[in-house]
Amino acid sequence: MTDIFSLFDKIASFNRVKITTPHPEKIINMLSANGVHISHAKYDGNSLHFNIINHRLKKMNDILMPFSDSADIIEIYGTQKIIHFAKGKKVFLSVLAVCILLSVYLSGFLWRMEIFSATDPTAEEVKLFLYKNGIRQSCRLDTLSEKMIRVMLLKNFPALGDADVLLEGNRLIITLSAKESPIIVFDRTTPCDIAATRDAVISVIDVYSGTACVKTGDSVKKGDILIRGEISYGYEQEPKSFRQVHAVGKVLSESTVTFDDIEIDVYEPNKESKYISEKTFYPAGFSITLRKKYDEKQNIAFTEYAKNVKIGVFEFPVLYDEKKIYNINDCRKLNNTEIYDAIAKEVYSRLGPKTNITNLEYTLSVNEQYRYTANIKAIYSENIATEQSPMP
Amino acid sequence: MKNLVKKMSDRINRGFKIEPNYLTKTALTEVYGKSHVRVENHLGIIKYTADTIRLRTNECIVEIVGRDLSLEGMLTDEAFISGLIHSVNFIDEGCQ
Repeated sequence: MTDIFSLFDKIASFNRVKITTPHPEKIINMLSANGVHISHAKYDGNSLHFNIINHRLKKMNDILMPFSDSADIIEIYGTQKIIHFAKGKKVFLSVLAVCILLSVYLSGFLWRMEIFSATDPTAEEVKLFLYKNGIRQSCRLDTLSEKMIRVMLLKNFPALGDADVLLEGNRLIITLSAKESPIIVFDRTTPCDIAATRDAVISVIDVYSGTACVKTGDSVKKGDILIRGEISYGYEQEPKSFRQVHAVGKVLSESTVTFDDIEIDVYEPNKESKYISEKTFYPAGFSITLRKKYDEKQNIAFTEYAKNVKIGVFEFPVLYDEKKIYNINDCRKLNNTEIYDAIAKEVYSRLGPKTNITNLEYTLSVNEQYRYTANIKAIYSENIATEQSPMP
Repeated sequence: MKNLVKKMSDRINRGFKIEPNYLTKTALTEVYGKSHVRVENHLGIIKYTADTIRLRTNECIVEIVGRDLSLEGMLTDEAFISGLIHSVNFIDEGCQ
């Protein structure tokens, strides 16, 4: 009962009152009889202290009037005290309210993105891809869906076997698994065949153990036996006998691929050159670009994606793109080897790391001011051999 | 007459197995360890000092003796007293 009384006391505002009287019992009885409840009453031999609800204060004064005892309010508690406190701290309370509203508002955005990936594709590649598709820190959570991100990743990265996407509060956690599980290496003493992983035309076949079933130039289909895990022995005149072995070999298939949409930066800014910075922010799904004037004919722009906003040493979960605009005179043109390397790197990123480019031809065409697009024809070989499960 | 009413109330209480103080408004005194006392159905305070609190009830005076006594809660018919309780006495003298 007392707890409820004291709780009610505290929710509403109440006062600590001091009455100087030689007869505290009279006052308590009078108040109690008139329905004025008091609590935490203490008598020190001279004055009576007690708590009383604010709206009973007037009634208490009416009751005490005939006794000519005066009540002094020592302290105010409860909501009235908060209001009293608030009156003098308008700026503080306004800032507090803004902070609370800001926290509530910001809780509707993506704050953190964690990507766990194997080598292909790398976490950075996936992050950049998602970024370019609008999935970035500071984008709205209600525009994201786990299913949509999963489909997007699986569709764009053929090397992926699965993408586990989890939206947990303000965090997006992506775990990627490669399509081809690590090669199962069977015990070398166990007989097994080698089969094709896909439809292809054989360009190279090296057999280290076993018997080749195909030769260079043959077309094979997925699952066809390429090297059989058996070796014949015996003289030519005698009937042949076979011994089962663990087939070992390399089977490569060459393919040709063309790309005509690879943009290459042929220019590179010199170190410590001055540049104009143009930043693009993406608050709440909008894009705000802080544009700056520059002469497009004399300048070249390099864009850096997904940079974090920093104030001093503090990093905020707000991303932006920075376009660094250099004067063309402060840049140097890449030589042919560097251009070849840049193109090869781009082609490898598209074909996957398990391929080997045997021939690469390209032509550069000017796309826009100081920008080039490469038309590429690449011949690459890929290992299509995989060990089949052991023979029964 | 008062005795008759009391007897009847007692019988009803026993018959319906209800708490004895429900109809007769008998004082209910509860002591919580050595620090709290709750008195229900009191009729007012007749003495209040830091060492002694006396409450009038239907049957007797309930006297709480202790040190640093304070009235934690005071309702029309209920009082909650806290402090270091030495004794709780029931005094018949002068009761109604």
